[in-house]
Amino acid sequence: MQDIEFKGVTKKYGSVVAVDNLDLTIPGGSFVTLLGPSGCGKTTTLRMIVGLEIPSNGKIRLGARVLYSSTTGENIPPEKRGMGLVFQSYALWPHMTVSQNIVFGLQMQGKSRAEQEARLDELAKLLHIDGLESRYPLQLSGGQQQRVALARMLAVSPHILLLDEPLSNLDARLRMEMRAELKRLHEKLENTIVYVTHDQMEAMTMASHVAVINEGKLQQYASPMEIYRRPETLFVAEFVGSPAINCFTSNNPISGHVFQLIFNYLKKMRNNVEELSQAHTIGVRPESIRMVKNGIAAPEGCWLHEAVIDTILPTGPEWIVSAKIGESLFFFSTDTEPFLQRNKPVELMVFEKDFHVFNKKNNRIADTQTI
Amino acid sequence: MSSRKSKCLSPRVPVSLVRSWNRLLYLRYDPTHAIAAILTVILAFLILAPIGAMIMTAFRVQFRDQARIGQSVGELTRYYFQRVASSRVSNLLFWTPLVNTIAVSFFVVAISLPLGILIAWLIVRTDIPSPRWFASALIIPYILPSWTFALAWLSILKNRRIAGVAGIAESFGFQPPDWLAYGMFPIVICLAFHYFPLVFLLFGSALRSLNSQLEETARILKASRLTIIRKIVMPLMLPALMSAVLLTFSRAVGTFGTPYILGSPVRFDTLSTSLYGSIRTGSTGVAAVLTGAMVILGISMVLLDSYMVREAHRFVTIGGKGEKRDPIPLGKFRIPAAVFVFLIFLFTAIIPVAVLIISTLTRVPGVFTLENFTTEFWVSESIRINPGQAGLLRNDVVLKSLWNSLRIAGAAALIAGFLGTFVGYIVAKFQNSSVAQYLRQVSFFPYLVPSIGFGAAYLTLFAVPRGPIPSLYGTLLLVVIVMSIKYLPFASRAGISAMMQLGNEPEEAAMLVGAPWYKRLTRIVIPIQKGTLVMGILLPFISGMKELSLIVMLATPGTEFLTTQVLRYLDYNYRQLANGVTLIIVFIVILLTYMLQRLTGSTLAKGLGG
Repeated sequence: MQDIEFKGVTKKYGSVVAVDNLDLTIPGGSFVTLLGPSGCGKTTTLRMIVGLEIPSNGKIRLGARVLYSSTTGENIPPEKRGMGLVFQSYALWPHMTVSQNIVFGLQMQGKSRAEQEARLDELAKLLHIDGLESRYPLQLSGGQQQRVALARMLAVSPHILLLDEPLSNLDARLRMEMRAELKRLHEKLENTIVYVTHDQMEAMTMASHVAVINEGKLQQYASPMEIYRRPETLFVAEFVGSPAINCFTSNNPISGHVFQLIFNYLKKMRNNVEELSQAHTIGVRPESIRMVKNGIAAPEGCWLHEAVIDTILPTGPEWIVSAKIGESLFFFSTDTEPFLQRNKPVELMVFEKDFHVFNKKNNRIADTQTI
Repeated sequence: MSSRKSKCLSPRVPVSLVRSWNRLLYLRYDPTHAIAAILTVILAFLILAPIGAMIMTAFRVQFRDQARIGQSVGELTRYYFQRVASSRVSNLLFWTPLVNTIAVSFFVVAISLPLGILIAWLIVRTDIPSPRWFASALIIPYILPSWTFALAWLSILKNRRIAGVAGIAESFGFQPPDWLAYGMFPIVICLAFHYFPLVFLLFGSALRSLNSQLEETARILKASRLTIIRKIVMPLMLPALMSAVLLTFSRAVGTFGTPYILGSPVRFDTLSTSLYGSIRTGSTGVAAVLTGAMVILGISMVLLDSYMVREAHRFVTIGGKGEKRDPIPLGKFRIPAAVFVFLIFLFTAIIPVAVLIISTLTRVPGVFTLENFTTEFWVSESIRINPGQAGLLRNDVVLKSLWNSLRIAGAAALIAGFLGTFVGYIVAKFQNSSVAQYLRQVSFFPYLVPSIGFGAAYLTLFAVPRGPIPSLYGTLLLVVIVMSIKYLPFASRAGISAMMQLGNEPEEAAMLVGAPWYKRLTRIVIPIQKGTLVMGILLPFISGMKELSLIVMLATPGTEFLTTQVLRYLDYNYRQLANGVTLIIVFIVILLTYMLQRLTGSTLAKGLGG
């Protein structure tokens, strides 16, 4: 299995920089998601891998093979790269039946009719589209179209499969099923999958590595849990997680007060005072904030503070509670039924390690050991 | 509400009556049902009745033919069909014109199709310089009145066969042969010059909206360029292509000006000129049969076309976002391609207009000495070579016909625009009901009937008093009605799609906050649909200013229009004056198109070459 390697890749459209000096290595056999808001350059990155987009600068390699290099001018066209790409719109050919769509790639390879048939049968079973072979794409549901698009690319057995928001047109239930299916498929086929999405849930659930991209720049590249637990930039912290992380900023007239409270506490707890003095924003994930029941002592070294309950939003498995310290509003979640009501005071507690501190440039300030 | 109302009435009143009464009362709040009913009647009377009358005319004995047929007026007869199809004159009246019409239309398609496709491909897909400019420039030939080319052709290549000033070629010592000056060949060239932008527009926008990912997928699967064109692009473009073919063909079938101007010197008749002749000589029965033939030809084309468009829709709706794609590099052909496209523009737009301008400024064509130049065709009190005629800008007849053209085109455009918007409003309101079906289809019907036949049908119906309506022949009102109905399909199509897209919610929201119907209409619906309405009025206005085929038979010496005035001058062989009036039309039409572009920010070329 060969790695895909980006070295200093930049793509400009006129003066607009879509991808900015990207360095990224996608290990062979991994399942990597490119995660980011729309227009962040993730689809452009994907299209550069497959060769539909030519970088303005930099180098892309597949193992030892150079796919593109701006210095030597080498550029392998898409049809020679041997990758598969499933578009967000599926791009099924509307004038061909399901089976014609699927075997097209095999025909291009000059495979015999028997081979085509065999592969078609195999894929139809694998993706649960058997029985639909003679239909036209428009006679299929969204989920079926999605599977046909996938089957069409899998037919030519690409070592690298690229997926551009493949589940975004499906309903929630089908999306969940397809996630499980894709993950299973990846384990079975053992190929490399690069998956573009703006849905953090999708990125978290399926990938072995997540690359978070914003405004053309790679923000963080790590395992899903690492991304969640140790966001390297404020953008990553805010983009990943639902409900979103609570942020308190030093110069904010409303949340600045809470920032100061936590900042004073951290100064006592952490040993990297010099770095910590750069702190500009402090984030706390909703599930890191816990209520302290009356009469139960909080563990040693926790940050404790009183807040006032604002609203309680039951979601089914848990409750999302909004609360205020002063005028500063924040959210926390709890899986036990809140014992307090609106406008009642409540004692809240956060473990020291659960505070994410960012400097003025929105980069993470290392936690270091606690004292 | 209805239960409370019914209590007020005597219990002996039958329930059905109560129900009707309450429904009637409800019209205060929501008069859409009443509007639907009114529209239904208007369309029946103005669209279905004239067509019906024309069909009747074809089967019934006309006053002047009583003696010849030996039956009395109004009796059923097959005489007119026999006369058209199998009499001594039927070759002259029908078969030859039919063959000519089909041949002309066929060749027009054969020329404009490859030309339109090539230009569309160059502008949409390649790195040709300034595609945007070309895209809007190449619409101009289609905006010009279709006979502009015919007049320019004659100004250059006219020979001694017909009277009047000589052609420019003759001044250079070249006497053009008849086949080059008149008949089939020049008619085909002139019409192809006029209609190729239609192919370019239809094919170009289809090519642009083709989802680029369909091709990219094939490319990733190792299909060659040729295979992609053969197996992906062509099958998907075929419906749009067929649609362009049929539209061009049916337009060419219905056109009148060009075959009249270039065909009559050598007695080259098409169905439209033959029909014109029949009406002029008073053979209304024959004219009705000829119109019927044109209608059948037109309907079959349009039905085929709408089938194709439906097919096309089936194809392009899948995720059809035409993504930005890298243009195909033309390499060393880039500049030659641009020169080629520019030459096409030169020959189809600049040169024809320039020739007309020069012809109105010179006494003897083709002589470019200073004393030969003159402004007398525009401003003198009496033109020496056209006795009794004043220069165009101070000529009462011209000014009056200009005023008439502006009035009727303006009135017709307003009526068509508003009628179309209302049709759209009602169709969107009562989606899938039979009223909506009826309005949608009947309002589209005039599109199926070639203009000249449509004019003939109205002439048949309204030349005599009908019920409470007096004879309208020779009135401007008749022309306004004909024109607004003929242009209704464009307005109603635009209205329907705009209203469908908008949906009913905005109006329903206004209803819930207590806005009465007229306020909902004037404050919500019309402001939102302003753009569509402006387009729906301005486009018919532009078409109306250059309309000839439709009104050529309705104009009378008292009610001339700019376009028919061109024909009058041609009949008198006042060529410079005919050219000059055409130039006035060209000027107005281009001005209006420019205004439309500024006002709505959209052009016919929108989405092409961007």
